[in-house]
Amino acid sequence: MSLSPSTSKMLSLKSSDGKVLEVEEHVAVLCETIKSLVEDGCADSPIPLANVDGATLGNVMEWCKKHADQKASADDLEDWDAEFVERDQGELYHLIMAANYLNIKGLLDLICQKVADMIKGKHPEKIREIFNIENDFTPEQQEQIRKDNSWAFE
Amino acid sequence: MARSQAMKRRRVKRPRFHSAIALLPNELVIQVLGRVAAASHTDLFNAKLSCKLFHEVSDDTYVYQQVSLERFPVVPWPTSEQASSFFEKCKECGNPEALYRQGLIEYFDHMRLELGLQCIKRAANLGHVEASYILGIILLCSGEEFRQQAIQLLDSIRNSRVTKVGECRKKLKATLRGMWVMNKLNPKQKPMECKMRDQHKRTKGWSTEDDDDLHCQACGFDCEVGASYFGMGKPVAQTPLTGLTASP
Repeated sequence: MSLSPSTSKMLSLKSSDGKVLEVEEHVAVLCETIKSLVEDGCADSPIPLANVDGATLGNVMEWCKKHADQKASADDLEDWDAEFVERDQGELYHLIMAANYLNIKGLLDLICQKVADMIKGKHPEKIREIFNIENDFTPEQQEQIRKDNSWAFE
Repeated sequence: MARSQAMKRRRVKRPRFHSAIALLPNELVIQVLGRVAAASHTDLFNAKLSCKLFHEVSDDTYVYQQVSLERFPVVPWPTSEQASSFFEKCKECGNPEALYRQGLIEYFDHMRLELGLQCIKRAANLGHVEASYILGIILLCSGEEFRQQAIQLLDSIRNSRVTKVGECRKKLKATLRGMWVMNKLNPKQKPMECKMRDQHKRTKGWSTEDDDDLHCQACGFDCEVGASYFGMGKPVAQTPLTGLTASP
């Protein structure tokens, strides 16, 4: 993330793989976890984020920076978010875990919705294909579940 | 997140194969499936059929709360035990739409007024707007002592930017029409008689600026609920909520 000249106080965030990121405080506090640390006066040294790797932290802060921008309109943010979630599944899951760990409700909602949208409107076979999931039901279980749930497809 | 922590944590046996989504903790898979469920119940069931992880994780309270019942008939198939038990589960878990529908059925169809009202109130407290709307109407029809509360409820809908009163009314009517109505409204249950009823019938609507005309509004609601319930065409009052704010 580039450092832009600013008068805003900077915070240092240290990822699980040791990368240090300098982020403006008003951006970083979109993470409730970091906000609590700042409020408690515990945010002086680089803040260690043991559960977030450097690449994911960069992505998270990119999202926070956009959403901390007072000038961004709701439409603008929506378009930007739609592009932001165009990523491979691995990145999406890392973002979900990071958003959960850092307690960023908006980002968690966004990514969970993206993954849900990948499931919606698909048959089980297609869902397995998209998520590389094996059908781990025995044929008997499969038949029983189909029977139990047949009403839902009538 | 607070919700995740509050959620029941159960171990679901992880699949042996490599699937990235299976690496997510259950509480986060639940968050995803809750949103799938919010799209439609068939989407949820397709996900459940795909693998054991989704099947087992779907059985979480949060998922049942989120299920959209839009494509689920208002009165569940009486012959399908599974469908009824699914609906029951939604209700138990506090799915607002399930509570709302149950409330309508109990109140308007089975005539179990107390139980019906209880369900409708729970749904309204969970933020279900149509439930607040019908609760407002019921309260408005329940006598003087409930009028202020009714006005507050209906006003909060009117002032909300998200939902329009007209939409609530339309949805209510659609839901009531979907019910297999067996009992007719007991005349005793009708809202208070409006002293100016004849005049209203003559004029078919009143000035929307007329803000001290609560009896007329009540009369309008009465007709509207009745009209929706029996499917007897247009309600008398097209805009029964206008002018409810500044009442004596």
